[in-house]
Amino acid sequence: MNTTYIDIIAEVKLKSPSHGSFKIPNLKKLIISYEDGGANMISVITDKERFGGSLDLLKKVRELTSLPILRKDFLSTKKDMDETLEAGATCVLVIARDHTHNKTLELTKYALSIGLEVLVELHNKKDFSLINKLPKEAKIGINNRDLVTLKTDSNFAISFLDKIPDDRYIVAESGFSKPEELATYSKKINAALIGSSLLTSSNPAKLLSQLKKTALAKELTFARNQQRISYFGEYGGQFIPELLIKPLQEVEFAFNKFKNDKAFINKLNVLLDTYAGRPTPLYKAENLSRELKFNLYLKREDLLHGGAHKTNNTLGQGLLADAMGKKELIAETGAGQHGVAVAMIGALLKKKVKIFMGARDIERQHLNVQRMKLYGAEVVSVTSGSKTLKDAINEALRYYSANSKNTFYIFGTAAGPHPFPTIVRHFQSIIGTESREQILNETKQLPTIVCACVGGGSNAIGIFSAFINDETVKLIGVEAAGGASLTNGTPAILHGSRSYCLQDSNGSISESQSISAGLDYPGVGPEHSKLKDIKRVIYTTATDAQALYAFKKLSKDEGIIPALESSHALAYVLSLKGKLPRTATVIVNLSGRGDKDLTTVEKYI
Amino acid sequence: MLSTRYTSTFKKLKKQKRLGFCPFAILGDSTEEECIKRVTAYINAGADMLELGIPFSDPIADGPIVAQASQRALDAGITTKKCITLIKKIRTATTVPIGILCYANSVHAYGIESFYKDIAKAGADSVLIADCPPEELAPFYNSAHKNGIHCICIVTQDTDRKRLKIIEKFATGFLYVVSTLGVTGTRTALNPKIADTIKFLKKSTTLPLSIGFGLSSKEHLCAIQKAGADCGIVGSYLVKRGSAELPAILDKLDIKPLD
Ligand SMILES: Cc1ncc(COP(=O)(O)O)c(C=O)c1O
Repeated sequence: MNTTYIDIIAEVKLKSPSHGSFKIPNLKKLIISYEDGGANMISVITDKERFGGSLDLLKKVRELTSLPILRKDFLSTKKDMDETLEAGATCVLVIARDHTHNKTLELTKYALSIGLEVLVELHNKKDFSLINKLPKEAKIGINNRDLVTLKTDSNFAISFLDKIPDDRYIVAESGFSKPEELATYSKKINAALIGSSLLTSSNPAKLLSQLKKTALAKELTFARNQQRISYFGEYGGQFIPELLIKPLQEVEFAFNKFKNDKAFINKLNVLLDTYAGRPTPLYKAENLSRELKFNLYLKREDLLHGGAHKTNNTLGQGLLADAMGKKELIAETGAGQHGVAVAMIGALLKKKVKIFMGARDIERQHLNVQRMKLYGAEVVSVTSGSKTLKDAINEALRYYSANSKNTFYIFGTAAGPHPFPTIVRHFQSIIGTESREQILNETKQLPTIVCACVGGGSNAIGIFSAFINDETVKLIGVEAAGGASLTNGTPAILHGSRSYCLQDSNGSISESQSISAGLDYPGVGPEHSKLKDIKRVIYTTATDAQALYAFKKLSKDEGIIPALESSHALAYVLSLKGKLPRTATVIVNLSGRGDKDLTTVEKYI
Repeated sequence: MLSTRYTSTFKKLKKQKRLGFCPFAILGDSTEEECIKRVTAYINAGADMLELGIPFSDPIADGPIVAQASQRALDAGITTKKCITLIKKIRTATTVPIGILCYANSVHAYGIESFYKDIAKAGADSVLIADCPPEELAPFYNSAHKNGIHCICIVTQDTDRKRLKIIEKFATGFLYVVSTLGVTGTRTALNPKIADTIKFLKKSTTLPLSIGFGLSSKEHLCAIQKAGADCGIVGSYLVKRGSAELPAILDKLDIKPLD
């Protein structure tokens, strides 16, 4: 027997055509009672004409709760979706009946791609024929109130429930006021949206908890149970000790506040331009293009201050730490690139810096250790476990759970517990935004392929994010053959999130093995796991030897020494020689420069 | 139905005005035989309940002593399956409540449903997943309760009323109160805030309070007893000793009932 009760989406609306206005003397009190009653999500109707709502109402609710928020309105454009996200909603309603099937699909996919959840509302037979085309992440809303006649007819909805595939999350919208009514849906739905009856109740918290307990939810797999903002499909989450919940909630709150704050954005942009050297060029590699027989462009993150894309992230998170008043920055590092980028920002922002680094990596990457020390950082040698990157992350998390009051943990890649994957993607997305604009300016069309190496996945998600909605653009992620979590791994829970990972049958995390320290990690960011499953990105691997070949090739043919990490992406692209039309354009994210790798490469040549 | 061992144990402790004593061991540390010897010493010393850890390769809530014990056990070939067999063996030697401490990936890799079914069959009473806050607990909780296993939740000195409400939606058996910020390990002094934390919790919840993390002396145990705790969990302080020296050490931790 499954004992999961249905989720309740509790609604806030100022009036409704069927009821008239609702008295909400104290919005804060209402939201607290929804929280106390165990609401799983708050719905806010922003339609002005019929429901008296507004986006401001939604923003007010956002400030009062950290629960997910659904925006209900009659929306029809991508701009509406952007605006919804910006206002702080986490989920948006798309009413199928108001659009053609194609338009509904387009809006749904767009909203999902910018990180919103989507509730697609279905009314009639024609709407229901959409179901199998809708992305699985979309929630299905059954509305048993006809918005035109305003009548509710619950039999209509029930008659369709059995036809919906088992893996879909189903929300029953409107029409319930009593526990008995809800009970008839038991095990057929996952959530019920409750509005008027809560708004007119003298004790909404009590009613809500009663409603919740009357119906068991439809059974879903592990994955589909997760309907929260911290998830990318079935990956991600916040698997951390209780001690870290509050510090990470504070980071999430600060991030949501400052990412849209004009002063913060200005400060970051000025530093990105004048300190770090953005925008970085998109360079057409003419010599290689001639040989490969297609147009090869390199996004020159190797020219960024610090020598790799890492600086985009450390500047962003560093300023966030500063805005939160934190005095100390900590970070993990494998190759030392992220450690160097944090130490650099620490010097700039006058923060104390502690870098956790595996004892084995300290030996392998001596030059970067010296750079960090020169910037004034303390390098902590980690001697537990395999003495490499994964153990450095363990140690940084341990330190963080004891010292979070004064300390900000700058996570180095788009992995780890929520909100890190989202924060890192946000600060790295500038790579994609620039690349897309640059290639459109130069070639007047979208690229054929965008390719990046994948360690934890930050440079890859950074460049992919701008192209994900461009369905014609092929996205390729290249892992190190010895650390190919996506290609060879299985889902595991490591370092705070659920994602593909190298592990044994007992769930012990395996050690990875790559010539490139930056790709030497047995896990990967959760968004990549989702992109793999939905096949939006193709993930492949390059061996040490292939990467070394590409390393030398770019040095000799273009006068650019690439990082060993980036060399993996190049290696894949070299393998496309003669296989693409002459007019094809390929962008490789050249995530870093290779000076740091010379001693390693020397050993192999 | 949920296991009733915790209810009766805490009731008995209350009646005797005693602080419960809950020693901790890593299953399979340093070998399966050595682990059985260790737990036998715990039982002989009068443990009121046991906490047994399933080793994981990346234990982010543990300090060096427990992390190294986990690594030792893994190196000696322990697996979650073998841990469950060990629990079964330990259950034949004692009737006290047995709590399991583990990490989410061990359960995930074993299969959530089979994990709870198998540990229930082996005779365990509760599971605390160190890296699984209420936010992620739902799928684990469902399988646990289906099999009569308590989900033990952690509270800290930062837990306020609002957070406690969220935690209480899942928590049964007892609350595991971490005495200090950070990870497991021995500490010379007890965090002075623990008394206030206990006082706040006693006002706000009816669940028994077991204090853990850092308890390393008789004085520490006496202090939490005075502050109103129901049970003290002693981990690293015992894990760092070999089983031969345990009886003497355990003897020194024995404390009197409150008058
Ligand atoms: C130059 C360079 N590229 C790529 C990576 C891999 O990280 P990610 O996958 O997060 O981009 C690293 C990591 O150190 C790096 O230094």
